[in-house]
Amino acid sequence: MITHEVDLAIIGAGPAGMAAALSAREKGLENILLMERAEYPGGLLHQCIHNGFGLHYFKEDLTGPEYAERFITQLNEMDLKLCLNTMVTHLNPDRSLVAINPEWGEFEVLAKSVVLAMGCREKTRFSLGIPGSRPAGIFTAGLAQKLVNVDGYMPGEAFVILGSGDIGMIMARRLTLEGAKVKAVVEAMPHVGGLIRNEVQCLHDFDIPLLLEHTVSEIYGNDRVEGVKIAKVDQGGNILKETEQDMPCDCLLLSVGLIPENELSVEAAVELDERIGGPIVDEYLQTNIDGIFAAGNVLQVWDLVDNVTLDGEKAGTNAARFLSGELKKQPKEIEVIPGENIRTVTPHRIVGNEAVEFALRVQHPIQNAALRIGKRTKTFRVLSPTEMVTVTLKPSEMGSCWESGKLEVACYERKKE
Amino acid sequence: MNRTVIETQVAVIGGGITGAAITRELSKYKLDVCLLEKEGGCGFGVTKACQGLLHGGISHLTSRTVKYHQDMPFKEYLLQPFLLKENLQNRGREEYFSLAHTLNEEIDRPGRLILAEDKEDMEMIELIKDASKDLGMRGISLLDRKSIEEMEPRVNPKYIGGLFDANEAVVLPTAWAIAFAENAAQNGAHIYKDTEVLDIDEKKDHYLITTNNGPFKAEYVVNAAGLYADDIAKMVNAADFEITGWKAQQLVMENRNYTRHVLCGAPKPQQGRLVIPTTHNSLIVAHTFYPMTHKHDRSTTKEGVTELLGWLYEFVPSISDNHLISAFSGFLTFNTKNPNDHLLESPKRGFITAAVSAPGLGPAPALAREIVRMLADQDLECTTRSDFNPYRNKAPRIMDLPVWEKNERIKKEPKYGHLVCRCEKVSEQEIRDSVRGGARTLDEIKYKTLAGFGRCQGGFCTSRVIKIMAEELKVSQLEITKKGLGSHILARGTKSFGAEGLKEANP
Repeated sequence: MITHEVDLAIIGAGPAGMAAALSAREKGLENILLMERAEYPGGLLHQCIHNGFGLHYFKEDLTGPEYAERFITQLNEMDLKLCLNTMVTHLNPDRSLVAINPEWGEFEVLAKSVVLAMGCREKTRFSLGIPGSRPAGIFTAGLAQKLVNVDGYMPGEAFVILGSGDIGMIMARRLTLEGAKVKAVVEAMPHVGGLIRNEVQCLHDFDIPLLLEHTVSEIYGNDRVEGVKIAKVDQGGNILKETEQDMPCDCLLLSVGLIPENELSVEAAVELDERIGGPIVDEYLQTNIDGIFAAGNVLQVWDLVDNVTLDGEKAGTNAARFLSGELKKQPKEIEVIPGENIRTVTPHRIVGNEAVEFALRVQHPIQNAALRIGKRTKTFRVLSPTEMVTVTLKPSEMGSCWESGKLEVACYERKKE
Repeated sequence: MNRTVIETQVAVIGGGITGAAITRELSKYKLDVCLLEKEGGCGFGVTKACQGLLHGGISHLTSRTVKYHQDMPFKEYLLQPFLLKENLQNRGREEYFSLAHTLNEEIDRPGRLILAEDKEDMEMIELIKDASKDLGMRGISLLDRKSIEEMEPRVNPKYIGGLFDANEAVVLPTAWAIAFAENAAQNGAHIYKDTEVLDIDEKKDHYLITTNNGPFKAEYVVNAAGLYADDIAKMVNAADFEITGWKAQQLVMENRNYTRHVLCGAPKPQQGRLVIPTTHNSLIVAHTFYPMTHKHDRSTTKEGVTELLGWLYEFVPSISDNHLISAFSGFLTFNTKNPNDHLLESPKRGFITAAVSAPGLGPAPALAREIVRMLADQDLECTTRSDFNPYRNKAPRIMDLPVWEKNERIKKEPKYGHLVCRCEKVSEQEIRDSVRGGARTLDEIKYKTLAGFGRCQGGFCTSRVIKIMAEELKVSQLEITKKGLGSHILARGTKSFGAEGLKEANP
């Protein structure tokens, strides 16, 4: 078995992994190994042929492949060790890992630091427990997107899409453009799950019916999907059986959420935030295991790839700083506590004396919101759980938290003055 | 369909575990055998949704306990001689272990842990233990709270004791049905998939079988149609029984060290509460007892899933429903003529009915021999073939091999080093090997290689697997189905690729 000793091993060459590699190289790291299980770098960007990428990072409106291409070009120029068709099968707490590919067979990597950049996967119908039969014709939206945009095949003609995540809404438009009929996008919540701009541009502009507070209550068909039953749900998420209606279709797409993919992290004894499904990290994006960092959707599912890139850069830079001994930790640490109306917040703890960028989601939509992070309060016209908020605090703004060891993040509706 | 009649000596109807095992048994002899399976793959019916348990002896006693009607002393009742079903189960289970080697298929022996909640449970379990001793069973032991804790630290502390049967084994049933059929095919049997028997005409010295895939003429017919055995029997006017049973909903969870043993409660009527560690790192939670309303109804319900999760928490409180992978429904079937046992009979000369009553998985290899004996009794000339090859051609799972062997194989064929299924870690070449071994549908690939079995349920590998299958079979990806006729996966090419999809775009 071949053994490679490297300064930095990066698992996954999607937007997070590529950015981590580039920024670590910029910080002077020479010996970097970037591993990707797919046939090409760029992760899922290749199947996202719609635009809207890079508005923040490049101040340009790019398609997914264009966005990926910019990083792939840089990777090629930098002569980085990029291993494609390579699956990492084991990761250990000592940062050694085992991987396999056609060229080297099974091999071992002894890494001085690791960036986890495995991304996320889609929830399946069974993580929702939709009852009914098990015919062909049920796809996650991302799989359908790959079939249509990369492989060139339509998975059906008449679609119902369950869940209004961004991929689901984008696929509703894409399938319509391909001449298929999208009968409805069905969402259990009273608002869409993805970005508002996708609701407008993908659904309303194409007259695709959006059924809020509805769900698929049953799938039927023996060999191929023949239809689904759709019913209203009450606020507790219970199906109102009397509202059930029949909707014939030959394909059901699921866009019901993404789960950070952390099987390897768990094997390496990385602690996870059960609510998010990603590792518990400090502001350097370092996990509880020294030298193992996490970036992008493996840490938490971001709305925009631009943030994933920034995350990757941060993890790559900090991995390089970790190796040169620049990551200074304070003798004490601050625990970040999600308070009222906060669904998730990262980082989970603060260990250094540098500016900290918080990323958070609120529990439910709040008008005239006041977001309080420690002593700092920031106001927003509206905050919605569908959009991640980022706020940066200077070290001086956390001063008193070092005494209590706690920093609470909370969100309120502002009282009228 | 316009083709000439296919003539054969024996037609086996139904490629479930029973029919497939019978076909393989027949392929040991100099006979011409056809297996007719209506689904796109073997083991796609009741076999597919069965729990995969090869019961140890103690299960005979627990199921007897459940049916006890106080018409004789309990112990005397338990000590009655074994039924045909129980005998075949005991023999069949052990045969699986030697077959695992020759058919190159997986088997585990986790053992079964029967857990007692209170004193009453414990007393019953002790009686069962005594009876097992009198019946000469081995590998059965009583457990106290401490031993349970040592064996299964995550099991609910409310259980005060239990009984352990070390014999209980577990397999992936569909994989085994495929294995039996493939080995039979290697030895000359003909496997016809997507072939549904529509009618049988009884002639003077043969049977004429009409199917959607053309006619077959057979001297002998074995009715191993499982759930539909009564419909097949009707075609020759021999239906003095019906197949009925229970609909059994089940869940599949990731097994993150939750349990290594099969777990169940003390025997109680209509409580199929079982937690089963499978051969591939998942758990099956079985099963609800709902009356079977329709033979086609394999649906799951919200109530069913909730009920099953509830039991699971009772056994292993620390489990998280985030680890739910899948839910499915199966059937526990029995025949109405002999509800407590298998119905093996010959209502007509040359026509054998093998209507098994649940559980049918364990007995299959032993039952197959019984059927061959019945055929021989009816003058079917069974001469053993000197060239019978019991070893199935199947490349091992690459990830199960030691490093040196893995790397040797990858050196010779780099596609073994290209993993296309991330959850179960299946390589591209294993998919190709499976197609070359006879798999034609996505589900056959799934059961043969485990690609698509894991937590992402094919989200990552499906597009890759159908592409590889199409390449191997030299057909368009549009022709690949999930499980046979009518279950196509793709509808057409996109506008830019044309109606035929990728194949037309890149000829």
